[in-house]
Amino acid sequence: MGPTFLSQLEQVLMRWPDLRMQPQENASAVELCGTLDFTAIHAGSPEIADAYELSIQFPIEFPKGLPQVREIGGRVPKTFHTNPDGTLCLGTDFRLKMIARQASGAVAYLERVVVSYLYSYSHLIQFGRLPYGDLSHGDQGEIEDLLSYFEVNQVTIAAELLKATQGIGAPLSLHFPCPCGSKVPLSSCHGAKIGKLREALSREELSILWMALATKVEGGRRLNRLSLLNSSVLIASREVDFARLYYMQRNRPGWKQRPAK
Amino acid sequence: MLIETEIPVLDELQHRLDIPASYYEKSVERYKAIGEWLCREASTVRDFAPDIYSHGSFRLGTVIHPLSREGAYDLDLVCCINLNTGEVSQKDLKQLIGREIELYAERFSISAPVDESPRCWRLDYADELSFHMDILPCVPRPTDVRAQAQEGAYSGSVLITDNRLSNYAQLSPQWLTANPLGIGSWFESRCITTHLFEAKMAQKSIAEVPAYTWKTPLQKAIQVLKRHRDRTFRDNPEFAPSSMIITVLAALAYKGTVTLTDSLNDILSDFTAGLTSRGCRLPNPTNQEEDFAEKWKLRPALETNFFSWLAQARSDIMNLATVQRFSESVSLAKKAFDVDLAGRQQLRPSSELPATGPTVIVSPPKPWERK
Ligand SMILES: [Zn+2]
Ligand SMILES: [Zn+2]
Ligand SMILES: [Zn+2]
Ligand SMILES: [Zn+2]
Repeated sequence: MGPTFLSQLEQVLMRWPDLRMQPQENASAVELCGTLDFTAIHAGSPEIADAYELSIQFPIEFPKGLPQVREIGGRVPKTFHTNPDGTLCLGTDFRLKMIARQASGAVAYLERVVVSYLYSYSHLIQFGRLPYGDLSHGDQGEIEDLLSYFEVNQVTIAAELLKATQGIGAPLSLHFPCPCGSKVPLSSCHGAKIGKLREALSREELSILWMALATKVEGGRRLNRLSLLNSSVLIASREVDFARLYYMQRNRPGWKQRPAK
Repeated sequence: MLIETEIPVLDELQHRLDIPASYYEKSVERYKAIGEWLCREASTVRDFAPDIYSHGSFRLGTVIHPLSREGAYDLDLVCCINLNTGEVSQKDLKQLIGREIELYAERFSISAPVDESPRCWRLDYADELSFHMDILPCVPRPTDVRAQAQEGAYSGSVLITDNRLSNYAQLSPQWLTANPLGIGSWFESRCITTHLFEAKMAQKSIAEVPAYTWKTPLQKAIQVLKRHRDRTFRDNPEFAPSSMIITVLAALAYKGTVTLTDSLNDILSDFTAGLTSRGCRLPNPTNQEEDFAEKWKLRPALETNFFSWLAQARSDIMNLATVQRFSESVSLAKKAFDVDLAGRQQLRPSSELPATGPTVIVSPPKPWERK
């Protein structure tokens, strides 16, 4: 712990003086409790000013760790995008990690993620609809979000693109044809999006994400996990330990395997 | 020509935390009375030249009012008996002084029981002012090479008792050391770095004027920080950083600035500079082997709470120093310090802050949840 945590936390407290630090028996996070107010606007939607009572567990390892947020004023019902543990479901893991690690600090992250969530809920209450939609829950939501991130419509293609993030260590050959099948060089196709993912997420996080996607079904066809596992990229990177990753994926906190159909 | 200057809000706040000089005088009366008791005809320690003096915030001049009206003032006392570790065990020394304190309490009809802590006796003494007196039994530390090396410029080390030690009841030379006098002198030397103060004190020797009358910016800054700590940890005092940690870090970070606002700014910007990353986290400036933050190792949450409190203090103090509207400073002082500034004259014209624009939401993450 040191100057980064201190200055990040200080900026959050300066930005929202009604959030206050609460002493607690926890060495890895600080609890911030109180009112988070905002005035926000989204293209095509009206400006909304609102305030919510929140409890935020802000990790000392931010942005490596992500803040866990609870609404404690009783306004957001459990039926609206709330995780089983009571925290607000602010977005998919990979999306939140990318934002946290690309955002210019904790204030920017909270504005981008928490304010937009609360804006979305206020919008729903005032106008009867969500301003920018939402995702399905669970794995399906993560797939939808990956498709939307890569701007593709097939899970197999998203899986191929994600696979290209796995060859960590070796730089991407930007003149190679893009794995999305466009026959255009990576540099002028999905190269930037792949690069951004590689910058933001760790090797392990990317492997977990890819493995999760690789095990999903698309168009009735189960992707051959073994063939992916044997792919040259994985072998080349060598440090990826499949058994361990599979274990980690299954044991992610809050993660539940879909029941087999 | 007289120029009317407004009192900065932090000075006003500090003013409300500070105790009157008469309280310090009262504290001196209190411990002198105990000293006289220990020297009375029938005293069992009379022959061992008992010496009693204060350390802690009454010595340093950093006492503040307790949060609640019923709260007591902590008066930390050293009770040094001229014996050596070859003549008395820690337990015998502790009991010797404990009995005298009991008799004192009886004689002056103090109804609260004399409480024992690992190193001290606590006596609650209340008339018009309530004191928690923590009395630290000790013997002088023999001056040897090691002691001199540890103390450096700050002599006056003592050997203290601790009933958690295995040799507590035995005759043993292995006692814990402490240097309450040394910390006092070290702190005083940090206080007098302001030119203003040097000029003011030019005619008198420091020893003639007790530190509590000095009111240097460093002392005032520590008062403000301690109160912020008290308020923040009101419901969870076990997580609060100790007054010693706050005092030493503030004294180390202090750069000799003259106004309270500037001093707080300097101190808070550099507050963690005194922490080291290995060995002692916060070495006692008068004994590098003693770690004032030793509890952090056993309970890491204390360190997280310390850093979180510091971020909160920086934010609150910076906000308070720069806030434009009077009403905002009142509510912030109440919330962050539990201090009522409402009686304060409205010195600044309330100017409207420029409105900040709305947050523009661009490509937000869509709400999602792990199933
Ligand atoms: Zn959801
Ligand atoms: Zn492509
Ligand atoms: Zn005490
Ligand atoms: Zn008491």
